[in-house]
Formats: sequence, C-alpha cells, structure tokens
Amino acid sequence: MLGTLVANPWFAYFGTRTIYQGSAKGLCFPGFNCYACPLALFSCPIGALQQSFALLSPRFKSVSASQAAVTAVKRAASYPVSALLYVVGFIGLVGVLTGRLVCGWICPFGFLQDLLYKIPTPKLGLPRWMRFGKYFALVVVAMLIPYITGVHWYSRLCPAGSLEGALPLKVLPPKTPLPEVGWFFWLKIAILVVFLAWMVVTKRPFCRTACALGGAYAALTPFSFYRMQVDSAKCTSCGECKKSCPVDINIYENANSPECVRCLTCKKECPTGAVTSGFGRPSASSIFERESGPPA
Amino acid sequence: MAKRRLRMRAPYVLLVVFVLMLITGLLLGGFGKVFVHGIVICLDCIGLI
Repeated sequence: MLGTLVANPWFAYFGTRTIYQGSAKGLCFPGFNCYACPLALFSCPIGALQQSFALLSPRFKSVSASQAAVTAVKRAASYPVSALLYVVGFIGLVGVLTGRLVCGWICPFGFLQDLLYKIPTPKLGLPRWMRFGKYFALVVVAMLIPYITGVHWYSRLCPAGSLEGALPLKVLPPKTPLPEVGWFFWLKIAILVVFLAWMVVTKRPFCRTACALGGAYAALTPFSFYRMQVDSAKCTSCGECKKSCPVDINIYENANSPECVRCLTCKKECPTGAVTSGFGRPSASSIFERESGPPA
Repeated sequence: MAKRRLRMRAPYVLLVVFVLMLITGLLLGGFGKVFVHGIVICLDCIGLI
C-alpha cells in the first residue's frame, strides 16, 4: 500500500491534467509501476529497459508512433548505450542486494494481486512450467523484440500499463490530446481482464508467469545478499508456510527459491519459528543448491 | 574447489559489475534519456490507437 503511494503521489494531476515532468522521471522505481499512470512520479524500469533496446535498434526511427518523441530522444542520445547501462545496472543492483524483496513489499501490481486473491472463490494452482514465462517475457518480449522492431511491445500490451495508465488517462484525459481509441486499446483491456480474473482464482499469476521485472529479480535471487533461512532442526514440515505463501512455495524445500518474493509471511506464520531472514554473505552451497530442507 | 570458490565470489562480482554499469550509464547521460522516455514516450505506449 505504501509502495503504491510512494510510486504514485502526483495528485496535482487532478488539477493540472498534466503528467509529472520533473527530474524524478529520470529515476526508475524498483517495482512494477506504469510511468504512464497520471499519478506516477518515477519511470518503470521495464519500460526504460525496452526503450533502451529500442533506442539501439536500427528500426527505431521508422516504426515509432510519435515523431516528436523520437526527435526528443535522439537529441538526448549522444551515447545510446548509456540508458541501457543505467537501467540494467539499476535492476541488477536491486536484484543482487534484495532478490525479489521488492515484489513482496513495494510492487503496486503485486499488492493488487494479493487483494484480488482474497475474494472467496474456488482456487486453482499454477502448472510448474508456466513460471518460465517471466524469463521469456524479460528476454524475448522486453529485450529482443524492442531491439528488432524498435517498438516497446511489452509496455504496449502490459496489463499494469492498461490499469494504471491507459484506463485512468481515458477516464481523466490530460490537456495534451490523445489519439482515438481503436482495436489495440480493446486488445490491451482484454489482456487486463483475463489477468484480473486469473488473479481472483490463482495466487499472483502475473508475478509468476509474465512479469519481466520479476523475471530479472528472480534470476538474481540465488545470488542476493538478502537471504531466507530455514532451521532444519526446528522445521516440522507442517506446511503452514505453503498455505500462507503468496506464490505457493515450500520455503523449507528451497529457502532461496527464485519464486520467493520475500514477503516474510512464512516467517510470521511458522509455528516453530524455523524461518529467519536478513542480509548476509551468501554461502557457496546456497547458490543453485538447496540451502536447507526438512528434517529426515 | 574452484567451482565452490567461483560460487562464493559470484554475488560480489555481480555487485561490482552492476554498480559499475549504473555509474557508467549515469556518467554517459543515461538519466537524461530515461527522463525523456518518462515524460514523452509514456504517452506513446498508452495504446489508444
């Protein structure tokens, strides 16, 4: 909740009908928050990552929809690779320091998914293979395709962008006139509706299957300095941790699983106090191996 | 043994690499480019087309 407010405090929009254009837009927000949201103060790291690849693309000039935007970016782009270095360095630094702590604590879209899952309906699990979707989203949709086409397709189809950017700007349009709604707008809304319905029946489906930022942080979680630990002498494998886990994992099977969003619910719910967490030196055995397990 | 040592060092190597990337990107003007994306291109990605 606090993360949502920190990322979106530009309430002046309601009076001025102008999106924030101050220097904070040059900073990336560590969570998944659309910078087209009328209230957004910071840039989305995945939006900026795609733009960095699109900027390096030979097709950038010819396919981008806004010529004014292209001109402005080209003018600022004396070193086109600088945006890429800045954004990758930022995402990597957050990932290697905290793993997916951001996903569990300050991501507005993760917070929405947790809320929707509380609606009492029959619940569904998630096939294991679908978790690879977020890595595909990161490498192919957010990096490779923008480089090849010069267009940020992940942002254009992103359900968080539709919810936080497209819909509010349609309801409360800015002073700058926007293009007319067409079929592409309705495609975005359809994707959003599918994900919203899925969030009611499955725990955090977007984070687990399609979030490119979650994919980047997940890949760095085994190396991160913020670690989860399970004391195998105290753990009774009762399963309370999995019941309360927002991403449906058994923390005692792999304390530093790439899926773990470090929300620390398992730490709170564990009846024997076996789960601990904190910053520390990652041990050799914890990287790519299970750090702890249930008692034999 | 060498593999174990490599694993031990990987987080520190990654930390140094990402910090260097961030600093280099900022020094070369990455902040300005993300700023321009943030205020101009975000309206382009709304998809009202």
